[in-house]
Amino acid sequence: MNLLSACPPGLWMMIAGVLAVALPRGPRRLLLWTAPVLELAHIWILDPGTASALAVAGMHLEPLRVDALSRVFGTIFSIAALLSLIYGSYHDDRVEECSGTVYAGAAIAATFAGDLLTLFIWWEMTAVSSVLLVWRGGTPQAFAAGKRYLLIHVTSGVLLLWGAVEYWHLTGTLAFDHMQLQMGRAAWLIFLAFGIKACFPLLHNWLQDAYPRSTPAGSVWLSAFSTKLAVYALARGFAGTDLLIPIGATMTAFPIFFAVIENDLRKVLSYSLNNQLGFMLVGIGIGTELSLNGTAAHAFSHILYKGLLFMSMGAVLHRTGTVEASRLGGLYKSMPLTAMFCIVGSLSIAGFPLFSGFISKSMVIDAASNAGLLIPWMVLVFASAGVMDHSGIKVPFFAFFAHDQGHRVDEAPRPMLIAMGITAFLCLAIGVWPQALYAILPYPVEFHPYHLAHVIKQLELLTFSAIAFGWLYRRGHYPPEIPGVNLDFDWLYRVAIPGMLRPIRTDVAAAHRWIETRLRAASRTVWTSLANTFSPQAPFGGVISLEQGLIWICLTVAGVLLLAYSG
Amino acid sequence: MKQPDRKHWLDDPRHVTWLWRGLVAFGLFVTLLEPLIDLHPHFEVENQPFFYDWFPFFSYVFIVLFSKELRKLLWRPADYYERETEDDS
Repeated sequence: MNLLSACPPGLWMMIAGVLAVALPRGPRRLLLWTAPVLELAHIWILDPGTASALAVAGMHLEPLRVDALSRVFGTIFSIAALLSLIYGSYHDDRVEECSGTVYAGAAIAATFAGDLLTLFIWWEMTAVSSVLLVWRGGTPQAFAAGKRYLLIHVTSGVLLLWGAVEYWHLTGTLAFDHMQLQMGRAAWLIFLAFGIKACFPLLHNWLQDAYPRSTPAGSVWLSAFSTKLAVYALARGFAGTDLLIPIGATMTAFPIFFAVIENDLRKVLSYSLNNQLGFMLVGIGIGTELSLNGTAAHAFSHILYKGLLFMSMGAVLHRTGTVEASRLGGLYKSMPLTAMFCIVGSLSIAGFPLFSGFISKSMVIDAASNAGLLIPWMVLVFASAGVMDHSGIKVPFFAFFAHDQGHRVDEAPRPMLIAMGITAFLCLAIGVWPQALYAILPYPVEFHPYHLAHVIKQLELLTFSAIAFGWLYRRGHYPPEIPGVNLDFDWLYRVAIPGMLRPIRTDVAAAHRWIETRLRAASRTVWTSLANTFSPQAPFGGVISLEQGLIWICLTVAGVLLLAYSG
Repeated sequence: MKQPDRKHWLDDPRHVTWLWRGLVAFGLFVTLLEPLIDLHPHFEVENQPFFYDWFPFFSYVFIVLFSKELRKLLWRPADYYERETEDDS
């Protein structure tokens, strides 16, 4: 077995990320920037079907398993890592670059894990490495959000491990293959672990809590990997699970309402990310070749356009010091290129013809209609109108147009512009030439997005959504952007439950103080008595000779033996 | 800090009105195309006249107006979490 087929893709990125910490800027960048390129080559050198086996303590592990599904996710993760590195090179942040690279490497390695234990290891590695990106936000709020983020992600990992152990007991194997929820607790635990990372409804708040707190580049890194790793895991483990259809449909709809009233534009994008994950989960739940292709394609294009939108808002944050819509406006005058790239991202996410979202989202929606799923289909169309609002219009409109707030700043730094330019090009390339994306999808593709009827329907949907915005805005019905926070489900564990536990916490603290006082008193007593016994002035104190010592030992042993035999 | 002083095209409200009218005209254009082509409907609801006009329009209006009401319930001052928790944000 050669080295390439023994090591999972992503491993080198993790090693490079760790080694680079000690290097000065030039060699560090060389090492880090080449790592995703090498990983991409590694992924495409490996043939589908390649696998490596390892026996550990009676368990048969498969650290590497290559197939079409893992390859498409591994590919986009490598591209996203390189783009994030380019984008982040506007400043010299060793921790951000290195932890981001380790994070991306872990996500890539996880997509090639053939067993649940290997998946667990890389799953937890993504959590530990990515929290550093949240903490790089550098504010007390970022630190607190990072702690919550870590707790939730580690919990997801623990559930995955627990599920894996149960699965092993149940089936006698750890192979990460398709499973049914009917299998019982093992499958449900694994499903829940994936669901936490995939932002199932009510489990979603870690995303909106953490991502907007990071640095401009940190958010770009974060937007690409964790949630899409969960999408990959669900696609591999739970394709065709009906429950994912209502879960995904709910996810497409509910974040829209929060995104409309949110003032922090990176938080708007986080809600929007949650909504896009819903489309992917519906595709997994339907479980047909078209829908699974749609999920993989949507994950691929989503990572690019969502990254592009986070990049543009990161550039705005970097230049103006804020991404609050209430403090922005008119920036197209100072940052025309950033505005243009943001609009490309917006057109892509909205699904405008010739842009990537038009291809991938249509595959999922068509799969729903082909399957005759009327209500999920209507929810997806409804959500498409919502996407047009929060990401298609709101983000570019309030940042770059709307009321000019007088920001007169420089255009984004060159590395940011280069990364945004490449990403925008890829968004367009997928839209114009989808065959390249089709070629790497898990199943053969028979899909024709540029059918006239499809184009007309989509143009009607988008145009009349935009007309609705114009009508509401011109008549003053569109909610004004106002500073503040909007409560979401995390209120429960950030305010309500701690509030309920406060009296108990007071009692526990009092009990802790009581026990501590008693223990300190007891230890003082023991210490004093030992000192009194063995101090130089005490009967047993002072220095004794070797012979005296030996006699004491012999007497003690003889005493113990006598006691033992006498019993 | 740069100080751009030139007037931009969008600074003129007439141009914004042109854009708005252009959007409405484009909407009417694609609507008029609809009866000329077979839309390949999968569901009966798609056979409703101009479904892809009114459904997204009213969905959008509902989303915005409902969110506006939701804000009355959910909005709190920016330092809400700092005040409500001891070591949090």
